[in-house]
Amino acid sequence: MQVFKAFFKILNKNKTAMIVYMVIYLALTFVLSSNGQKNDTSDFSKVCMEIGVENQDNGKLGEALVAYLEKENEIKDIPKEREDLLDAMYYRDIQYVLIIPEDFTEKFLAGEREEVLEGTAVPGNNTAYLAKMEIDEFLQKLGMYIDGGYEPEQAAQKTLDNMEKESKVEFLSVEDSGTKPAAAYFFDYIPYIFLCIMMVSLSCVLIIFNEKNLDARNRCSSMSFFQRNLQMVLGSLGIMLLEYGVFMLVAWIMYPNYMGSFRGILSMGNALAFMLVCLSIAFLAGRQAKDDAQLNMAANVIGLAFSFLGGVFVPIDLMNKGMQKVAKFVPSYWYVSSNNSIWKIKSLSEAGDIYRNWLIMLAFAIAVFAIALMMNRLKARKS
Amino acid sequence: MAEKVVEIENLVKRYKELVALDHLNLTVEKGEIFGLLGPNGSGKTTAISCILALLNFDKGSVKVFGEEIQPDSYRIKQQIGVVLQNVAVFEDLTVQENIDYFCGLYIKDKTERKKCVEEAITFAGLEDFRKFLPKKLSGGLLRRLNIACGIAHKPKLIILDEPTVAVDPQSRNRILEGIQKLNREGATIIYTSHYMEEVEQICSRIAILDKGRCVASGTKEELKAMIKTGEKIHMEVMELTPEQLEEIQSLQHVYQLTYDKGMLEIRCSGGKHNLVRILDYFQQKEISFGRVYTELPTLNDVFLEITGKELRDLAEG
Ligand SMILES: Nc1ncnc2c1ncn2[C@@H]1O[C@H](COP(=O)(O)OP(=O)(O)OP(=O)(O)O)[C@@H](O)[C@H]1O
Ligand SMILES: [Mg+2]
Repeated sequence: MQVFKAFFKILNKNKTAMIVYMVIYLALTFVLSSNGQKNDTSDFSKVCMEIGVENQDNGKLGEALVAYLEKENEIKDIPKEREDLLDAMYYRDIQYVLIIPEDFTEKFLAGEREEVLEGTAVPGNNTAYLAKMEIDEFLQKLGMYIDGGYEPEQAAQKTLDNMEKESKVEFLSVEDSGTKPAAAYFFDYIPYIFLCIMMVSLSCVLIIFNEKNLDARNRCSSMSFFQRNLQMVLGSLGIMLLEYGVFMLVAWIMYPNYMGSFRGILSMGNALAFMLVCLSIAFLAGRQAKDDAQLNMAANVIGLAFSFLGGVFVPIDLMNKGMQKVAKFVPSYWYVSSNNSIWKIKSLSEAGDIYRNWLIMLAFAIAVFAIALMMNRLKARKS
Repeated sequence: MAEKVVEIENLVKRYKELVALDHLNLTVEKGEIFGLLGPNGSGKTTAISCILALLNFDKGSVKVFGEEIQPDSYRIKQQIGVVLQNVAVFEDLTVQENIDYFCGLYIKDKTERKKCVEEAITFAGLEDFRKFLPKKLSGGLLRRLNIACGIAHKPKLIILDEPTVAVDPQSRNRILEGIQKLNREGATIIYTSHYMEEVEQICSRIAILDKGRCVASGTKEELKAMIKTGEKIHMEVMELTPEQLEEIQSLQHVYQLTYDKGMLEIRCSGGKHNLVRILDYFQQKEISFGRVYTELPTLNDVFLEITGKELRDLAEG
C-alpha cells in the first residue's frame, strides 16, 4: 500500500489550506445561520422603501395605489431634471420610480391591465424588486374587486383593507410552519466548500503523482499499473470520506437534534451525493492541471461558477429564465434544489424528488469520471 | 561469452520529423559499467527511456535480461534500478520516507525493506539528513537522494542518466565511487553522461552517440586506437614563419598543426620519439620556445575525429 500511504502522508503535509478553508467555512455558517434566522421572521413584515411617484392619473385608482404604497413606504416626488433623478437613484434616495399615466383608471376599468404603469427599479437592488411585487399584488386584487362588480372607489377601499389583513395572516402562518432550521444553513453553502476543499487536497496530491518525472519513476517500477491506479482510487475515496466525515461530525456536534431526524439523514445523503461530484471534478482537475497555480484558478472558477449558477449564493428564483435553464446543467443546482425541500417536507414519503436529484448528481459524477479517464487515454496515446 | 543484459537492435525513435534514435545498436554485458557518451540532444535519455519501456519506439527491438521489454514486464522491472536525469522525489516526504516509498514499490516485506532503506541511506551518506525535506538539501545531496531512491531495492541492472549534472567535484567523486562499489557488488551499470572524464574514469566499455547513432564503441583504449592521433604536443613559441611551419608539418608522423596566439599544437600519429624529433628541429633552427607539454588523446579527440565536432563545446554550450 505504498501509494495509498504516500497519498495520506502528502495530504498531511498539505493540511493547512484544508484547515483554513474549514475554519472559515464554519465561522461563516455560524454567522449566517444566526443572521438568517432573524431575517426569516422579519422577511414578511414589509421592508420600507423610498419610492418616487408621479401620479398623473385623472381617476381614483391612482390615488388608491399611492395610498397603499404610502402605508409601508416613503413616497417621494420625482425630480424634474433627468440628471437629478439619476443622482437620486444612484445614491439610493429613490429605489423605485413609478409613473402613473393620466389614463390609468380609464384603461384599468376597461380591462387593460398589463403594462399600464411605468416602473423602473434601481438596477442590482433586490428590495426594489419587492416594490414591483407589491404593486402587482395590489393591482391583481383591485382587478378582482372591480371584475366582481364593485365601484372603483369601493374596490380600492376593499383592496386596501384586504391587503392589510393578509399580511397579518401571512406573518402568523409563517411562525406556525416553523422557520428554516439553523442546521439547514450549515448545508446551504456546502457545494462551494466541498469543491474548494477537494481541489486543495485531492487535486494537489494527484498533481504531485502526475508530475512528469515522478510519474516516469513510478512507471519504471515493478508495481503494476493496475495496483498503482487501484491504490490511487482508494486514496481518493479515503480523502473524500475523511473530509465528508469531518463535516458531518461537526454537523452532529452542532445540531444533534436536526441530524438525528429524518431531515438530517436526507441532508447527509444530499451532501454525500454532491461530494461524489466534487470527487470526480477534483480527480479531473488533478489529472489535467499542470501546477498549483492552474489548479487554484480552476478551483475558483469552477467553485464560483457552480455556486452562482447553481443558486448557492443567490436564490435561483431571482435569476432570469435563460439562466435558470443553464443552471440545470450544473450539479449544484440539484443539490440546492434538494436542500431547499428537505426542511420543508413533512416525512420521508415526500422525498421522491430528493432521491431523483441524488441520481442526477451521481450521473454527473460518472460522466466527469468518464471524461477524466478518456483524457488520460488520449494523453497516454500521445506519448 | 558473457551474458547479455541489454540488447538494442536497429532501434528507431522519431518525435514527429526529428529522428532521435537512428538505427541504434548496443549490447551491454553482465558485470560491466557501460558508458553512453554523447553531446546534449544526442539521444541518450531517449535510448534509456526505450530500455525502460517508458516510450513507444518506431522500429527495432529492445531486450532486457533476454526478454523483449514491455510496459507490463514487471518481473524484469523488478531487477532494474533507475535514476533518471531529472530529480524525481516527493517534495512533501522526508529523505527517509522518499527512499522507503520507492523501495516499497519493489519490496513488500517490511523488515527486508527497512534494511534496504538503511543501507541506501548509508550508501548515499545521508545519515544526518533522514528527516530533511528535499528542498532543504543542497544540490549534491539531492542528487544523492535521487540515486538512493533508485538503488535501494538492490537491482541487478542500474541505469543512471547523467546523475552528476550540476554537482560539485566532491559530491561527484563520491557518486562515482559509489557507482563503482555497486558494480563490484555485482550490479551491471549503464551510465550516461556528456562529461568524458567521468566516463573515462569509471566505464569499462563506452558507446559514443551522435544524432541518435552509435558512432563508435569499445573500451577506452580501443576507442583511442581507432583514431589517428597518438599524441598531442603543445609548445609556446613567440614567432614562427610560414616556411618554418611547413617544415614542421613535413616532419615524420606529424599530420596536423595549428598555430594560434603563440601556442603551437602538433598532432602526431602513433609512433615513437615524436617529441625528441620536434625539439631537435627547434634546436637546429635556434628557435626559442617556452613551455612544452604533451597529451595523450582523450575521448574528446575521438569524438572530434569521428564527427568533426568538439564534444566538450557542444556539451557545455
Ligand atoms: N518529448 C519530446 N518531444 C520532441 N522531441 C524530443 C522529446 N524528447 C526529446 N526530444 C528530442 O530528441 C532528441 C534527443 O533527446 P534526448 O533527451 O534523448 O537527448 P540526451 O542525449 O539525453 O540529451 P541531454 O544530454 O541534454 O540530456 C533531442 O533533439 C530532443 O530535442
Ligand atoms: Mg538526457
